[in-house]
Amino acid sequence: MLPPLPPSLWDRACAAHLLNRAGFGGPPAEWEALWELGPQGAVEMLLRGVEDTAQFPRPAWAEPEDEVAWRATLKPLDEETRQARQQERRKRHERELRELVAWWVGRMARTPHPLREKMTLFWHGHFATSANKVRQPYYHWLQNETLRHHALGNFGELARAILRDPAMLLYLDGTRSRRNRPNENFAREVMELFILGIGHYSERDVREAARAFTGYKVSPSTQAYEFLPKQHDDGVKQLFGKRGRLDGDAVIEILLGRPSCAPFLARKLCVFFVCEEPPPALVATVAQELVRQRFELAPTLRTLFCSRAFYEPAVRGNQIKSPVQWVVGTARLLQAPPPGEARLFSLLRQTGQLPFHPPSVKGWDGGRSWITTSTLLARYNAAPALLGGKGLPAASPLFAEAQATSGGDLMTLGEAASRHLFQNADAACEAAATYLAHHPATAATWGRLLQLLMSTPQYQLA
Amino acid sequence: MDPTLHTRRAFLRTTFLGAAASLTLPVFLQKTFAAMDAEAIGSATQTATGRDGRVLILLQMAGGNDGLNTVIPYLDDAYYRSRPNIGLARGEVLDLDGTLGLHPRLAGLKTLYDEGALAIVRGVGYPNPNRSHFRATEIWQTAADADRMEAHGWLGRYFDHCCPGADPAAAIAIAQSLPQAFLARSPAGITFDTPENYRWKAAGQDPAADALFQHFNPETPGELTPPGELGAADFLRRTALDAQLSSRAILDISRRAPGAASYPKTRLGRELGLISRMIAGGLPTRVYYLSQSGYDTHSGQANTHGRLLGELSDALLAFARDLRAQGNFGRVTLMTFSEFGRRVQENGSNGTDHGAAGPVFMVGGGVRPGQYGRQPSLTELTNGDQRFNVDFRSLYATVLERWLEAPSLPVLGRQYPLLPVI
Repeated sequence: MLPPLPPSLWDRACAAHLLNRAGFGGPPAEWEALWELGPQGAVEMLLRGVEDTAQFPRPAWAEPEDEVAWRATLKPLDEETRQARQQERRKRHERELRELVAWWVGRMARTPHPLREKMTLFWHGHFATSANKVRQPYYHWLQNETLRHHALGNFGELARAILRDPAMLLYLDGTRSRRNRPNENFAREVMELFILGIGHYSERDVREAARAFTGYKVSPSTQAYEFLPKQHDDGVKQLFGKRGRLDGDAVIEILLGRPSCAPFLARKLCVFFVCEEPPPALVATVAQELVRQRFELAPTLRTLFCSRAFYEPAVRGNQIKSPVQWVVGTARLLQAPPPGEARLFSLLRQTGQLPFHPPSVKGWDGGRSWITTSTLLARYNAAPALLGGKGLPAASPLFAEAQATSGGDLMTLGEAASRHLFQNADAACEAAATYLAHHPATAATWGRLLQLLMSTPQYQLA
Repeated sequence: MDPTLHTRRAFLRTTFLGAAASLTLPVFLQKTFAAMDAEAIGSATQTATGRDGRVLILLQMAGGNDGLNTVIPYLDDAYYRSRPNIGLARGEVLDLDGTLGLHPRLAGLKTLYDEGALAIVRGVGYPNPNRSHFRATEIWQTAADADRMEAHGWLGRYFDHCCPGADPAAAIAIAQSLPQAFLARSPAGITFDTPENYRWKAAGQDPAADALFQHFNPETPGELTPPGELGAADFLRRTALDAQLSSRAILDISRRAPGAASYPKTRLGRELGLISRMIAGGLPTRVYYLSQSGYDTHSGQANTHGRLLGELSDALLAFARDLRAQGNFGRVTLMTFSEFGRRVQENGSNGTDHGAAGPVFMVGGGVRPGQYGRQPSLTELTNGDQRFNVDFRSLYATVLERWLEAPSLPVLGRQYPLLPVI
């Protein structure tokens, strides 16, 4: 059991830290409100969230396409027309993909259920699937919905859903796997990257599992999962000492029972929520909790977010924001929309985390690998775009608010800016006050101050 | 002594960012470093670099170059049967050896070939070739097997294994975003589309703003802890410092007069000209990366392909001339690659569709000139594509071992036969 945070240690900084990690951060009013709920209340609030489905309807294009019918329409055409049609369709898919990125980032930026989106992002990095191979945006939208549906649910159910996820089946060649020629791609990654971790299985286990995963297909006419019994190898398989006519679900059940499963997932959760090099004792305890909770995520996260270890001073403010966290967090802090579709797409690509384009099935490395001289300068130079572009309009309401509460006192204003961006009034208040002393007290000045404070090493941390 | 340690130490010593990279040094010594570096940057050519001074340049011919219309088997009837409309006539090609000829627009490369500065490796590819631009590019960039997803790039792994803690300028990519080839556990390298974008753009407009920026992004790393023990905040501050120093050095070099060399006024010409100035300017860069796009010639290929090859050839010739004049040609190897070749049989739109194996060019003073690999058959095809006979990872291994003098096994995960091309 993880020792909980003693109530006496719960302060506003703890609440701000919780919101940064279990969500994407927010303006002071938001973590003030969490603080008032106390640690358990705050964690419950984040776990429960507020359902946002009605607020974020599916993009209009997110419907399956009939591949069979599409190919039939191409058939009678001459080659030139056919290529033009295909080109048109590719362009449409590229446009839809940009929309999808903006749709998800927008949802993360505005949702009243930030922890669910944060976990959806976690699972996207875990069950990484890339549009570099699976080009049709519909599949990614569908997978994103699946990840969201199970985000705070049960890991086993999520793994079984992923076994049937069209994007994953296409990405890891499940659709090419046949009864007599099983493709081992998915079977290997399920063990290496999804459930067990490298070194905890044999090549024989991979081969046997690959047989069990045959027959899990994507229907070209509905773009939905379908099971083709004729393609499924229903013979006897043996892995990890279990024998039988195992199918995909049975294999996943066996993997979930392996001793390396819980520590593997626990470590990933700790790296994502706590720190880059989590102490082994913390990982072991979270792993025990996962087993005790039968891989139910919400109760496991409840224990983690209520633990003393989560609030250690060395943990707080020491996580490098991922590019998505940086964009979404800024939008939430400033209560301003993220940059527009095209700008957003190129910004996330430049800074190294374009959703739906992980570099491989391993997902993103994260941590320090987010930061190079180029990505850091890109973040610094993007501050104006995050503040709403020309004129930095996002700063205006914040300026009005700060002006009203400070009575124009420069140190108080500096504290407000520092508190807003760094959840800490002291971090930048003097430097900010000095800057303000050189400029007229206007919203434009405030905007440039925020821009400068965002162009700092400190702002890249949460 | 451990060769990687040696490389790393020599690397730190010769780097112009030595000051930033060795944070344990007292501040006055860092200043001395900075002064030495300023000197090196000011001089026209690289100061003594010895074995550490070798430079590799990778040039991607993006989109899938039609290798068969680049290096042309003009005696082979099968070529003209497969390419009745877009085949290049015997009389047009620039003959290499009585059986193969270069595309007529590759006059510059023909000159380099005749001068003994060009190697042509034929039939380069890999098993089970992929025909998607994205995936095939990923395979070339990560050196992965076709059925394996590899997160890190082959050059990223080289830096991780052989030059940990290297200067950020150890690798420079002229690109919109980090090429996957550079992706690493600890990413090394600088990426910019133009040097003007590789800087903090709000600088120099308002002294109070600059002061605030300097307050948070100090240029004196004085009290930072040694590398390896850096906390996230220190790591970020150090990266911010590296960014400022390298940005200034690169901008300074890019704004210098290009010297006597004249480059074609194409994007590729400008970029190779910039790389030449960076080499001359004494950057500690071991690997440069750039790309020329547009090779995806599905229709009306002849004009586009000819223009692209012409641009490539003219820019490479100017680059070679410039480096020779600088005395740096012997330090540089440039290697081209393309994610795939194209289908042997032309399509109905006077173009070609995605194919498999293709030729690779290598240019430089250290290259053993001539032809390597076999010219792939035009009658024994797989799915209508030429078969490879040189695995591209053999070329990577050759470049790693013979040029960068690094072990290839930890980078490529397997031992590939080397080619005598270097």
